[in-house]
Amino acid sequence: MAAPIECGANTETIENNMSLKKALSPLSLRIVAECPVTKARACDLILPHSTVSTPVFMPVGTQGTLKGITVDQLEDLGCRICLGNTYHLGMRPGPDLIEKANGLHGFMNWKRNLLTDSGGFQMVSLVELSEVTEEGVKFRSPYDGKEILLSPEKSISIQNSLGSDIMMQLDDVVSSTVTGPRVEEAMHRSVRWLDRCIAANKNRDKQNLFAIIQGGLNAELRKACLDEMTKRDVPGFAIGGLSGGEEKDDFWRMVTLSTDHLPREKPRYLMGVGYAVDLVVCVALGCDMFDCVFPTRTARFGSALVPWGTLQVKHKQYAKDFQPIDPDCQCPTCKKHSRAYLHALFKSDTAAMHHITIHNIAYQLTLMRSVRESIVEGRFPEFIRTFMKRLFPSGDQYPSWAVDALASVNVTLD
Amino acid sequence: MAGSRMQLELSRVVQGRSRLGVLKGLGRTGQHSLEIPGCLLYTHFGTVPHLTQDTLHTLISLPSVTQITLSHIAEHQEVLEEFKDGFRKFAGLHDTVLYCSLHDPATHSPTGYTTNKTVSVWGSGGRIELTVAKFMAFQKTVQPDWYQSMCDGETWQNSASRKRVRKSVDRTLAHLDECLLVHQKSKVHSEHTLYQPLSTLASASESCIAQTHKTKIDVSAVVTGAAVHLYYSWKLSEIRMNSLSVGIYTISRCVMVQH
Repeated sequence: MAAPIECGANTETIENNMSLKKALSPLSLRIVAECPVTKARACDLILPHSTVSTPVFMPVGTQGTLKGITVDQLEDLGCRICLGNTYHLGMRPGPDLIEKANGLHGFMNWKRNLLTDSGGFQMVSLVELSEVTEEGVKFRSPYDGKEILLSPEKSISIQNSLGSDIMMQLDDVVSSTVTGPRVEEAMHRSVRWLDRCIAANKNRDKQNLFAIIQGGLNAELRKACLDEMTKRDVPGFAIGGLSGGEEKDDFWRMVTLSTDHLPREKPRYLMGVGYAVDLVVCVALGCDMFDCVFPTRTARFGSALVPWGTLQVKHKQYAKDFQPIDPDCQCPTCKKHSRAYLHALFKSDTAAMHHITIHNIAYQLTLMRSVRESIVEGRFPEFIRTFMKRLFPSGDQYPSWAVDALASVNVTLD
Repeated sequence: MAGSRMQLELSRVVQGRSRLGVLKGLGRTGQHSLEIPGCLLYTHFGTVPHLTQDTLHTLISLPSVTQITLSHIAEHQEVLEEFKDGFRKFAGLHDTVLYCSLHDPATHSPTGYTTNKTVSVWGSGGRIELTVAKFMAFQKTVQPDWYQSMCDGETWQNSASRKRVRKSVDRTLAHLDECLLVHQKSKVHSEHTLYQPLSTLASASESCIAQTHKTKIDVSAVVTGAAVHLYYSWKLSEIRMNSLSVGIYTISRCVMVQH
């Protein structure tokens, strides 16, 4: 949106107006480095509660907490932004109580940034009898059995009460494995719902509303969605409708198509992606932000993430292994405890899960930090090659989709 | 013997019973102390339930003695043997006095498995039967600062007959004799303080303590059994020496025997 040109105003005043406007905006993106080989960028994302370095992995704290760990521990790990969930928090304890508690930040006592999802995905994935109409999504609450309508306006209203730094539009979510006219219908509806969400946002000066690009695995639909949504003045874009069980070969093509048509100076958030390979490849394809429950959820099953894959702490082979999970890891778990102790602790107390959770978050954040450093230092392609070599015992085990995706941005894996 | 470094300093005694003081000279180097009345830090396998070490240490004034339960540890005996450096190091514990109790003071174990020569503990895989030899071997790998001697404590039901109680006392004293023998012979054990458990009924306690006195066993402390029977207190007050009652998780009480 251009600044209004007043009669008699000179260009300097107009520029001042524009930069002032930008400074008042609750989001600005400063591109620190761009990879000359791939589409990767390293940026500083300036949000109301703090600056976030990208590429960034955002851990998921669904019900206002990351299961098993405190906000102090999350802060100590260097996390600058995490997720809360509108559906869960909107049901329990509800927006009114959270507003009284000074928003979700106050409720959880988290001083850094929060991103809330709209609730759309949960309704479709968790609730069996949900019905989508133009009005919104009708469903029966599993908490008290009442029938509820989640409309764009309602979702934004809840997110306004939560006070998150980044809010997501309510989108018409369709599984990535669905084909046919439903996908097109959902794409167009998501555009209409985006407009309704923009109109419903009461806190434009404090909360950033992101659009979510839909269109399934259909290149034309996705392109149409991109064309439409990029016309709207939103501070950032998410790439949605992926990471839901579709073929990886289709997945990466949609990601790279989306980043090709998203504006350079706005952040790109790829939703639901969290496996290490996926993160590195999608950074190369031009994405800045990621979220996924995988690292925290898999931790609760005793699965620790390490540069060479995963380590199943509960496996018998670690019963007498007195090394830490990763000797090179600096997280509190690896600095204090051995695989053997954690293996045994799984039989005695839930704290074993918390230890692995902390390690896995540290792993993800460290990975992103290393990726960023390599982009800033102009050696991202080498980083990718080293990373892949460490993760896969031999070249013929590289996932073919990853090889193709990286080749598309000029990185060949030997 | 490390136990002789321990000193109980009473600053106040009310009506000959309630006492205020400090137990000093605890731990390997004797630098720890425990205020009494006081309590120990209850753990599952060295971890305070649900808390990582970092979260735990955001709390100030933690008890200076950490309690662990042999029944949680028993199934990991092989691992500790291979580790060699004791449980405290294995668990990454901070500098704390380590007390090893036989059973988990916060839960009930099944009863009916005790024999003249063995007691049973329950791990995640089921029942583990301990002879004195096995019990002392465990303590050697755990390397606690204090440990509860092997005992038969299954007399907390009101229905326990006098005969059963008597049996429990006899067995416990027999176990204690054997434990002490091993303890005194072993260089490793001499660093640790052995606690003599009493069985639960007042009358039995009396006879048990009497026995202890008669044989002049060099025991550093006496742990009373798992019930919270109030009529204990007047019996215990008859123990004329520097007695100490320390609440261990509100269940066991610890009585110091001066030697």
